[in-house]
Amino acid sequence: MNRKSILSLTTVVAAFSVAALAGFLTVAHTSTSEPILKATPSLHASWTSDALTVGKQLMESDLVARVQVVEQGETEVVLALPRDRALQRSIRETGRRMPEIPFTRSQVEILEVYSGNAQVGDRFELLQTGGLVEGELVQVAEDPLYQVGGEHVLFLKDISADTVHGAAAHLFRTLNPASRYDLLGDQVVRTVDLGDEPAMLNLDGLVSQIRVAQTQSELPTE
Amino acid sequence: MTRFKNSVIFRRRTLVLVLVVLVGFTSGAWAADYLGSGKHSSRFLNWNYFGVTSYNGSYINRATTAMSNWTNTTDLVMSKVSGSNWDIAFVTDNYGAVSWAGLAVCYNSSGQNWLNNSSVFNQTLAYCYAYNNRYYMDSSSSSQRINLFMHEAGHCYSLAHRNFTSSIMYPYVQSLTTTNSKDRSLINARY
Repeated sequence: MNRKSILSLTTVVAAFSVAALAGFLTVAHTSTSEPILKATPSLHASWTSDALTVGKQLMESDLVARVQVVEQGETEVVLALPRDRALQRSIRETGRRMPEIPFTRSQVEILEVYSGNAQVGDRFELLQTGGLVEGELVQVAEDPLYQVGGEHVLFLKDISADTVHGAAAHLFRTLNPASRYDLLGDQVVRTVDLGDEPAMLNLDGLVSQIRVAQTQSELPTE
Repeated sequence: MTRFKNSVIFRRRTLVLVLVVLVGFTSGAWAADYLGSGKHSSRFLNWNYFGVTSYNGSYINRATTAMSNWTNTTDLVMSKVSGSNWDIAFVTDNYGAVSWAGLAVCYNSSGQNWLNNSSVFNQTLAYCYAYNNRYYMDSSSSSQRINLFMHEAGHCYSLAHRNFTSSIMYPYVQSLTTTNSKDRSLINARY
């Protein structure tokens, strides 16, 4: 094989590799406003709410607000040990392990209220599955951990009454990753791939959609 | 004449390069149908169920149906065991009012898992846990329970989320209890 052939072959292999990587990243990590801290998300969830449109998200939410993350709390682990005795026995017999599922509470401050009973400047805790476990960052696919300073428009459920996590006076969570709209300046970025979702370019466009949905559903606005 | 010949060769090379890039991009995108290159060492897998077996209807019967659905439509053979020799454990417990109804985590034979070592996604899987959150699923329908068990088992087989409502790997709990042709072909390609 002459030098020219080797060069051509190398070019083809390099082009294929770069394209394959680009293809993988395009599908696996479609638009996130925050740095991808780990190449592969650690947890893959099945979400309870399928509210994918602004209208449906508004209907299911207790609070819709633009917020800024001001503090990221310690990671807490809930149900580290299996409560089921048969499972405890099975793990003991086989020497197998069981994972710890981490949760993180971020302190957020409200910058603007679109729906719900809250005021600008109010603070609450935002619960998210994921966190730091033994120095390893554990994140859920499509729902990367919130970062201090990050701005988001969130469609939220009030889970203050939750007996497992609800130790805070005001504890909220998003409906699902689709109800999380990350802001980069006034640009709206999604962490989920919704396929044929119409382009949503900026915050004004999102707010406009919320207002239209409010009018259509005749929900009380603030 | 020479100029024309060179131009044709240049165009042909460009075309080949474009094709290579397209094929590469597609194969990379296709790889995202799976969580990684990891898989269990056999298509014959044992499963067991832990936690409350019934609340507002049966859980364990829905898990049995879910596993039968995978067995009946793919090359996988899922067998219920009562001992500790399980490859997949369905764990039903109350994880609170979080946003999810189910989660899956797999381990390799060294005791590392998807949470503490992302390379496990590309290794031989030794055993997996499929979590079922009672906070939501206690009030769910039979078909939603089957959907959740099938979906989480899909992750344990290494399938990734797919953004189609006809796929059992659609990331939102629904009433779908069947696999589509793509779900089946992905499983059969790997097992």
